[in-house]
Amino acid sequence: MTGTPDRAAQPRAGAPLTCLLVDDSPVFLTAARTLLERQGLRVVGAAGTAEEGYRLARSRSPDVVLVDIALGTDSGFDLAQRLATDATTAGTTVVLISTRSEDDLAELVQASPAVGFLPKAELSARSVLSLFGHREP
Amino acid sequence: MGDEARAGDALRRLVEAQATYRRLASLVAEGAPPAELFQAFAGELGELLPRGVVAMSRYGEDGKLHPVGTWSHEGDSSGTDAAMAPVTARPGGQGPGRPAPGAGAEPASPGPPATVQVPIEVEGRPWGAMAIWSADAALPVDADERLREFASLMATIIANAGSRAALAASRARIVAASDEARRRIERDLHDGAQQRLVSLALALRAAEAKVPAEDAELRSELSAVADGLTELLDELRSIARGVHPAVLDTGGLGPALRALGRRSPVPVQLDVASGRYPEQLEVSVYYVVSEALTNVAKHANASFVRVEVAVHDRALHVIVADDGVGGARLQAGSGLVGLRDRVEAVGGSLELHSLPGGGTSLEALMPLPGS
Repeated sequence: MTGTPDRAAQPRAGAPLTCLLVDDSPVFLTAARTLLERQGLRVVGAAGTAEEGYRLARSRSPDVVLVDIALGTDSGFDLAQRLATDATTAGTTVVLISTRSEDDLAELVQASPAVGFLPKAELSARSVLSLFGHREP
Repeated sequence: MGDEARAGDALRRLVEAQATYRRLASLVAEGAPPAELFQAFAGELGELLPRGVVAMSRYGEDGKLHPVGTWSHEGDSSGTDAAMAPVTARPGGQGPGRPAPGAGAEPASPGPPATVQVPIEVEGRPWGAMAIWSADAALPVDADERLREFASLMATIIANAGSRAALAASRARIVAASDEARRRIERDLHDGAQQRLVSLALALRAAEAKVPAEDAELRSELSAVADGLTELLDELRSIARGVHPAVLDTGGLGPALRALGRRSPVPVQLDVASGRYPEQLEVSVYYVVSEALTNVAKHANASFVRVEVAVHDRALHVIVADDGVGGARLQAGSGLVGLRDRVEAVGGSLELHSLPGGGTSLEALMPLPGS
């Protein structure tokens, strides 16, 4: 990757992929936003709670919502379910993220409406796009 | 009565009291419920003393005595039913009334007493009282003395039962406190150190993305540091999981045990009853399976492990059985001893069956609350 946005970060001609971050760790939100924007995605919002995430997902219609599984007292799985069942957000791609182990969570991710899981340390524009490309039509 | 006869009497009483003590002590050891114990105490007392009603009461939080057990010679053909009726059904009236709490021996009429009550003191504190009402005109002259002996015997048994219950409760609290501390440490690691490390790794990747294409050396250095951070995160994640399996909180036993199965180098066949159980039980089941699978991988030389978690008779049954070399033992220093302590702390039991050449099976049984 270079200093210019990755061409792959543009799912539609001329328009970068838009994403919303939902995570209760402010330090992670800042780092993730910087990285993803630098790699060519457009971060349209960052939410610290499930409720705020739900609200922003409805109002800003991002292509992808990145949802932390452990949202303080809330569950990222519940938010994913809520986004999938709400008519306004049902078309949005949800990707679950966590610092916890992928193989511990694999089964729960499988059972959720999310398209997939990303370990937080492996977050990048490329990995998000790859999951976005694999969403079911 | 001559000296010999008196000595014989005393000896007989001692033998009877010893036999009684053994019967009651074994009931206590079997963990009989309090109500059953009180009935047994009163019944034994009834056997030792002449026909009548025996009652035991205990001080409640209101400072008053509340009956906890009564016993009578019902079915006696003596025709003195009135005197045999349950204590609570005798509000005054003819015959011996109910003695006042702690009043001690109080004759209902001149002459030998028909009613005796003595206090029960457990470890120096008033606990309750025992009383007898005679169906005959009078109680034997030594009734008070015998009742006191019995009350003291019972106080010892009650104190022992109390110590036992206190010990079990304290053991359960220690395990619960340790689980809670481990859960907190895992959460602190997750919310604190892990988030910060992940963020640093992402910040490095962001910096890396800004390096001009021609500076390949700087780019590869940054990349190496970010990779190192990612490895460190993996290590920290595995430590955190060892401290507390957070997946239990999210998904319960099924996903947690299946994840253990996937990490096991020996193929695992899992059969886990669905449903959620109290936290402490889920954590205990997880540790039993985790420790057993670790042992299988290390020592069993097995080709196959079967893990089964099922609910029978209001208890969780866990079996981990392999087809390996067997010969495992529950010995000091083995992780299994700590595991047995944990399982016993929740009122369960842990058994190891492992004959040389016959494979090893570890079985745990943990009662569900309310059983």
